[in-house]
Amino acid sequence: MNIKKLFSRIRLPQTGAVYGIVGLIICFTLMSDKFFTVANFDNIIHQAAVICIIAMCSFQAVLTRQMDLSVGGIAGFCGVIAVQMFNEGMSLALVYLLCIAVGLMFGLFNGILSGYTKISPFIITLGTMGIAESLGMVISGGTVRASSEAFTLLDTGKLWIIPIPAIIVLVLYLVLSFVLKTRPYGIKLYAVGGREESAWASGINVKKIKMSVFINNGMLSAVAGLLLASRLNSANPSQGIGLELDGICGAVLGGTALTGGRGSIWGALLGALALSILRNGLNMIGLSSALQMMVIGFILILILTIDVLRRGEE
Amino acid sequence: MKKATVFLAKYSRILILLLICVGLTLGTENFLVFTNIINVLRQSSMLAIMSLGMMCAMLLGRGVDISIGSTLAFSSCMAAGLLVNQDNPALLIVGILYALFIGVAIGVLNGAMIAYLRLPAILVTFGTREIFRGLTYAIMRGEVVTNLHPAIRYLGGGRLFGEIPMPIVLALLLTVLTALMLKRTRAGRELYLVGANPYSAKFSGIKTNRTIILGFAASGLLSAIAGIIYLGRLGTAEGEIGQAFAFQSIGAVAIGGVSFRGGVGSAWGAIIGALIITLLINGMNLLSVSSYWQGTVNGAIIILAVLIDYFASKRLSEQ
Repeated sequence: MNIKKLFSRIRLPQTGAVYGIVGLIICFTLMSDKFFTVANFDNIIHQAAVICIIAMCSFQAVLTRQMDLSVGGIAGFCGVIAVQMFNEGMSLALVYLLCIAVGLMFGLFNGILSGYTKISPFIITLGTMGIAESLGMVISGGTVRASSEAFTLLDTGKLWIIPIPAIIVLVLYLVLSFVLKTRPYGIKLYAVGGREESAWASGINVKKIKMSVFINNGMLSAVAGLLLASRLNSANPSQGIGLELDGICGAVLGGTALTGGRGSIWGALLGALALSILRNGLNMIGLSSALQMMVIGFILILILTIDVLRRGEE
Repeated sequence: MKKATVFLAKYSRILILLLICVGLTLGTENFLVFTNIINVLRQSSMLAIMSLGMMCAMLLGRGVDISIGSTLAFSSCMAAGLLVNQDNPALLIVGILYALFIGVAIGVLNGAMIAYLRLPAILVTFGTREIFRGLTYAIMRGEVVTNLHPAIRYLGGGRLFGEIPMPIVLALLLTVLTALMLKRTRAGRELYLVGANPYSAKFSGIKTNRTIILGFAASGLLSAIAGIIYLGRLGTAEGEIGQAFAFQSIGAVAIGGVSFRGGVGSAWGAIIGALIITLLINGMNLLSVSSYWQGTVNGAIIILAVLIDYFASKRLSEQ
């Protein structure tokens, strides 16, 4: 086999996220000697888990041509009530179940309002974001700490040597990937995002599909909120605000088209990972939080621009 | 019957405002007092100016401008160094113009990206919000600029004829100006046309991209003006200011009848919306409800307002 043929066999990855991850790892390794260590990669996995799950929410929303700004607010709220219920002495399993149920209720609220009316989901979820954060403040009055270390189980626990957050993320992504590839529901998600009228004409209940996305998002945000709260062993209603931005960044960076109907769930995972590595690395090289905000803002706009240019080429 | 519905739809905002006023007068003792009324008006004036800007951006139908809080902070903090107490009035004017220029520049940047790249406004302004908030923090480094010029402090804290606080006067003046610009000038009418139907606006010879940039520039300009007044009221410049304004002013314009689909809304509606939001906050304070509820009320108002707007327009199109 000659070399030319070998090269033509190598297919370059489709999403920019892969190059982003490789480039970032090289950069940060050169800039900080603490970056490329086992301890730090363990750290990244724990930090990335939350963003990866939120990116899953944003992926589903962007895929169906919607936007969910309330995921961070719901995550914060669920974290707060989880800590409070745990402090009241409830068992962890019950706490998790109730939190996911609360997330589902928020999602149902979003879904009914933006699925069954023609109001832009931007506005509805913006309102829900504010409501979730402020209700969290009403319930907790600020930051609440878990009464014992047992609450951190979701973060510190390990199955053999694999940390539980990584397992949760992998299982959720595998399930969603399986559904998107093989189940009718997944195909309907792509169809609704691609062209709503055609999806409707071919007998898909567009409203129901749109509503279901928000319900999924509500439950996933609850999981993300639980992970975040157990990592910090405390919860603040505002600690989830801003996650929606990371999620959208991750999903679009991973190749999900803002015009809907195109994108892969594994791309979103890679995008979210790239973003987490970026955040971790910026911390490692000691960039102030002000400059980090600027970098993230720039990257959001850069990613959006690249998405537009990519669309222009096709 | 039909006339009554139209009348109600037109004046429903004023009705809501009056209802809240009557409710607060009956429910609390200290509401209908001159000092409290002036206080409410003074509190609402900042939000009113920001809401005017938000309305200019929203008329275009491309989405909301959530960078206004950061624009306020960045423009006022950048200019704060020129606005300190010194003897040279020219420097003061340069400082004010500098702040206004920065506001317009951020607006133009937002507008250009939204117009030429056809991106959703909310995402673009999300990005610029982070960028300019970060820049503000980076410039200020946690410090505050004090000792501002008396003229600036007069704009924020002074009283006209010793009675009416200046922010109220300025807010009223800006409302009249914005209303005139929207109703009487060509550019103002174009904002409505582009928002109502971008395609027909384009085919009737309007440079839609330029109009979109104009709308967001107006939003940036008004945020910068609000920033200068805010400086005067606080007496200091710090990087934290103005974080809550974006969310509050979206609530204000939503209840004030500005449509999220663009093309519908008026300056007076935005002002009434700002008054309603401030009255609710003031009322909650008087009734000693925890301030944590403010976000819930604000979010509920946004959702309720869009729902009412949606069902009303559905009703109208069915008739």
